[in-house]
Amino acid sequence: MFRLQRYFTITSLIAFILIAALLGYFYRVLAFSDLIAASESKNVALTQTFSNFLWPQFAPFVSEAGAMGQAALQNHPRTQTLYDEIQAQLAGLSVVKVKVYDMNGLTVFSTERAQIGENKLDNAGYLSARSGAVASELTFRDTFSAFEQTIEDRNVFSSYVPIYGPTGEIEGVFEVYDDVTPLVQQLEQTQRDIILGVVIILAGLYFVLFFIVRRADGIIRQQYNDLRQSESDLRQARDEALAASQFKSKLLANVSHDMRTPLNAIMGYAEILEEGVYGQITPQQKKATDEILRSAGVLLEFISNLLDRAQLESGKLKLHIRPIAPREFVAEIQPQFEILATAKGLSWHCKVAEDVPQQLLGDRYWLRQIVFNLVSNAIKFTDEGGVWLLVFRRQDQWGFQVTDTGPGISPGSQARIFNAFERVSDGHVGSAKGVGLGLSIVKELALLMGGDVTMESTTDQGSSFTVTLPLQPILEEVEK
Amino acid sequence: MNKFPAFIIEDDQSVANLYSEALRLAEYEPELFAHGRDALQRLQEITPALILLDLHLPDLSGEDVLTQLQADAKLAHTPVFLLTADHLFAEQLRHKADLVLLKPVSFSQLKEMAARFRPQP
Repeated sequence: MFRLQRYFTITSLIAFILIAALLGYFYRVLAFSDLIAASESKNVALTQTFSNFLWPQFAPFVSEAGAMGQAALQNHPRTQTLYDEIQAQLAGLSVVKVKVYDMNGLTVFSTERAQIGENKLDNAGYLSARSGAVASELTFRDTFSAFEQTIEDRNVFSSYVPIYGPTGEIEGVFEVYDDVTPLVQQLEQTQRDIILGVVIILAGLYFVLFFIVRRADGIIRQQYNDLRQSESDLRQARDEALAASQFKSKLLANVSHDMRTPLNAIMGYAEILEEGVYGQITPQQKKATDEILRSAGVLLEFISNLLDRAQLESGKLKLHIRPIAPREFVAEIQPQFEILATAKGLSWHCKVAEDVPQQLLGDRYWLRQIVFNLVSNAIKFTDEGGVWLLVFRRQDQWGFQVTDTGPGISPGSQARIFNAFERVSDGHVGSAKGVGLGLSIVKELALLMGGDVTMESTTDQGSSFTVTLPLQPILEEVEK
Repeated sequence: MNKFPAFIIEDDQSVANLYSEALRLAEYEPELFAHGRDALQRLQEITPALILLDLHLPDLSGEDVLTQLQADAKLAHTPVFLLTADHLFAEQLRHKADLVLLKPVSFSQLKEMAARFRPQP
């Protein structure tokens, strides 16, 4: 499962470190660009002061300097004068060195005397300033020669600044070195403070979030476990229900089966008696054996229906679709109906319409069950008149129609008649027989075969049940 | 008149007696077996003219007995009637036996069918 807490710990730590580092970095970039801009304008202002106060008197000396040798220039009294004046001007400022160049790159003055007379014509900063653009640079120096002493470990900000004469033309270049070490130190301190502050805030945030996440992780874990538990409970319940259902179906099938064997004996011995195998029987004894056979027949039908229903319920019912000759099929099953009908004094009519194909596909056993249920119901409930069985074809369908002149079924009962265990007794109180499974089985079988069953009935006039089936059956399982 | 030997392999005594009555009327001399094993053993000594086999037996399954009966060359011409209460089972075995009868078996039907399968002299 997804480990929220671990995921949070890793990603948030990375994110927080990145945030702190980025904040520190951006502060440094911004602060340094501020520092550079401020220092540069300070150096430019200083140059301006120099141009205004010292340049007018110094300019003639500069124009002569080109012709002097280095030593002469270094030891010139004017150099010393300028040094003194500049030192006076810069007293109390952080400026640590000043240099003056003429337009040819010659160092005509430096507070570090040894540098006077050097040529800077190849220096990019100098060249930039000579063409009018201030060039600055911030460097860290291990040692640096300041006015009076050598200083160590300093951040020095130096600028080449053009010197403008009275006509507005560039007449020389001024170089100023400013010691910005305290500023840089302050800036770095602030940067450290910011990073520390951010780290403290983020750490606080991290711990708050950590506890929230830990709690959430616990809840998710709990819910996940609950879900798995209920899933397994459900699975168990489903398995139990399935097992119970299978047990029920199996029990029903076994009970039905175990009831048929003794029923076989009951009906068989009654037949033996009727046939006179053990000697002729009296009409009264014949009546008794008839009664035994009839009751056993009812019981048998009940068991058959129960078995059929058990198979439908278990969902294991498979149709064995095979070729059937409808005329042969009807000829085979109709004699038993004829016997039943005539025994009750009813007329029996059976017809296969001419347009019904010679051969169809279907499950012989279940088709027989459908016809058997419908016809035996019709005979059972009809006391006078007749029963008709018609096999018909209607476009791409075929089917059976069973019509009787029985008591009919009231409109209220018609809706319920195909429900399992529903038995209509209103039309014929006291004469209702069977268990009401038959019609529900017919309905379910018809649906299973891709067809349907409908009924029409008028009270006291009779009923007609029509089963329609597709000519092309649903091929669940085709055998030969 | 000589009667034809017949086997009735059925564990329910009263049903077995009933079949026995029907076969006697069809001119057979039936022997009753409650267990498939006993019947198979008896087959070493005698070749029946007809076998009635219930598919639900206490020891061997009816199908096992049927398989062994069919493997026996001397029974090649002996008709076998299968008796079962399970119609789906009956459908499955229809092609394996000479006749499959669904319980409850009608007495007169059994008598009729047994007579029809009687060996012709």
